[in-house]
Amino acid sequence: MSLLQSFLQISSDFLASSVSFFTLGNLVMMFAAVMVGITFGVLPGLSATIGIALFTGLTYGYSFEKALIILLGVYVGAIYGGSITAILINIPGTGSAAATCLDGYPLAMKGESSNANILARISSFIGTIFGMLIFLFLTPLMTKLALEFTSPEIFWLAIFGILICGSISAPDLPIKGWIAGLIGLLMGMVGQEDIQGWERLTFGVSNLITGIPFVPMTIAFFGIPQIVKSMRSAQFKIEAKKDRVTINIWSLIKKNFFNILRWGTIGIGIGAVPGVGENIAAWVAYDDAKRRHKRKQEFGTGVYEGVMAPETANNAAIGGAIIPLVSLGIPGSPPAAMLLGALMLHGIRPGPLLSIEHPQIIPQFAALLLWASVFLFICGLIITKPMVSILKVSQKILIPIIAVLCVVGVYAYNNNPFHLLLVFVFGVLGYFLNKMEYSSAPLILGLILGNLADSSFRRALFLHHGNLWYLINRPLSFIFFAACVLTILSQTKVMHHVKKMFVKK
Amino acid sequence: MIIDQDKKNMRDTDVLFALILMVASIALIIYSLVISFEAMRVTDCAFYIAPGLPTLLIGFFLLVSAMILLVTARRQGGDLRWLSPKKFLVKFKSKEFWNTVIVFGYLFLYMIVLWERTPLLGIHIPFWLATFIFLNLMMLTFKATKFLNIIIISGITTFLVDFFFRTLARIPLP
Repeated sequence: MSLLQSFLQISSDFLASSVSFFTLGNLVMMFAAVMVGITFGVLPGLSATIGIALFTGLTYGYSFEKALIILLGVYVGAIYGGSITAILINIPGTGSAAATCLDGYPLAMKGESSNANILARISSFIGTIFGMLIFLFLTPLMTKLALEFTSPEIFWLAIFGILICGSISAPDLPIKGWIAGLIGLLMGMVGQEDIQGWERLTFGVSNLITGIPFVPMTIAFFGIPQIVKSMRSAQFKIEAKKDRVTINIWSLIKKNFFNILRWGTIGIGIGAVPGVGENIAAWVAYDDAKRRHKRKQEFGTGVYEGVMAPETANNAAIGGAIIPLVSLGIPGSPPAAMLLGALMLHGIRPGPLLSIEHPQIIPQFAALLLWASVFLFICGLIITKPMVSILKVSQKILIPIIAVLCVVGVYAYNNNPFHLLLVFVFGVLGYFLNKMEYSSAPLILGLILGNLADSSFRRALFLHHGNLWYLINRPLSFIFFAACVLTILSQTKVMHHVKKMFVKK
Repeated sequence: MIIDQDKKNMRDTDVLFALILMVASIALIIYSLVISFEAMRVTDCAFYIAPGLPTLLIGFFLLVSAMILLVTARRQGGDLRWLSPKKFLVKFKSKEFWNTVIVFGYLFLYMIVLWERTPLLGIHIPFWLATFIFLNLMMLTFKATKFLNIIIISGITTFLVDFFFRTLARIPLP
């Protein structure tokens, strides 16, 4: 099939999926899901990841299509929702909205909260649509490329994902990100291994034979530390001022058209890197906006582009994060990792064969992203002001309720009380790791990719009688191997000296 | 060079964690060798496909990472002097420490002790009662609001969670 033909085929499938979505039931469900997502995004401590993790178990009884509507609605809504609190009270509801605080809150303080909110909403809408379009047309190409992957490529890609995620997401030292990734990899090795069926690290506990499930672990490493931290910390004060939209939005968007494309591309690019996700995308786009702005010294005092850049990028990262998920089975962000769990719960195994086994799935994902972004816009309009009232409720009341939802969410995942014990034990570990500034993202990515990396590595060695050269002797595997080496070297003084040498020359 | 006390505290805990990691990774390496040789003996496989090889590599890289962390933390002023009984007692007496213990304690009570299928108590505790007790304990301990409000909020939340998850989502809660 020629490129044009496949383009037309994808476009028509996408249109068909978008139209078939248009039933009252689907519309109500998407509306409710986006509303819930925005609520998760607004409440500090909760995130898209926790929202999807909670709803994954809940959607078990629904058809796959309905489950996807709910989960993508929650995902898109939560990523946008974080910006509301970032702008109004200077507390990012989600990590991906942290960069929005820098200029969003000063705008609110100047009496421009409505301007900042509508800019965040429109940027999130554009970002999601942009990410969706790239996802729609790039994923089939990525899938074709992924079909060329053999065990060494998969192994190196998994290792590269963990390394890059560890380097970027560690707030303190990069080595801590890698240690978190290694701990995650080790957790991924628990249970019966694929090659020989040998039990590893189960210590006689029969419940561990099937491995450590990553959806409950997301609650353990993201939810439990946040619950404990929030109960200890003081209640924040809400002082949101009422004002009106006073800027010409469309001229601002026209003026920043190419910037928006660039921030969207940053979002997609970073979103597509395994495990990195929306948080980093927002910071990189903010930095880009600041560096290129004529009045860069004014950033941090309430510049419109300072709100537009992170909000475009973090929502574009959603489409980016789903590209490797669908084409390779490797999630681009922690919420995408939760989507992976949901897909597997519904008997769908993401990877290069997915679009062959389920040819409608890429247009279906894209159509749902389109509708989710439409509802993001509508719900954002309705919900922004009432949300501020919810935030006035004491955290000491909200957090116990959220704790109950987390516990029930873990149980709902597959009705196994043993998972509650696992979540408690790893929740304690997660709390201490969080306190020592070990990022949970590489740990969860390691957990997801552990088994895949292990079986790919040993399968490659088995096929070539233990010859290590085979791991790097193909162009693609060598590229991924080199990327791993460069990622490690980039955190050492060696790379610093090399950079200096080139700069001198 | 130490920038502030927070960073110093961080490096102190890094030193302790690096040492724990080093011990754990050595244990992991030994464990990996044991299961690898056992698998090689039973299945007559080569070492490179033995189940312990990946965990052995993880153990090795964890050991190296822990050593790097230890050296970095030491260079930036981290030590183990904070583990002295006197300093430890100060941390032990802090409100933050006890609040953390209380939250984990209540979570343990809710998730492990009161959950019906965990046979710790040997008696049947319905989900709604466990949830109601947990919510009340958390809100009362941290003085969320007035006593009567706490009872009302806990009651309504328990009803809604039970209704939503058990009835609407059809999850077989205990």
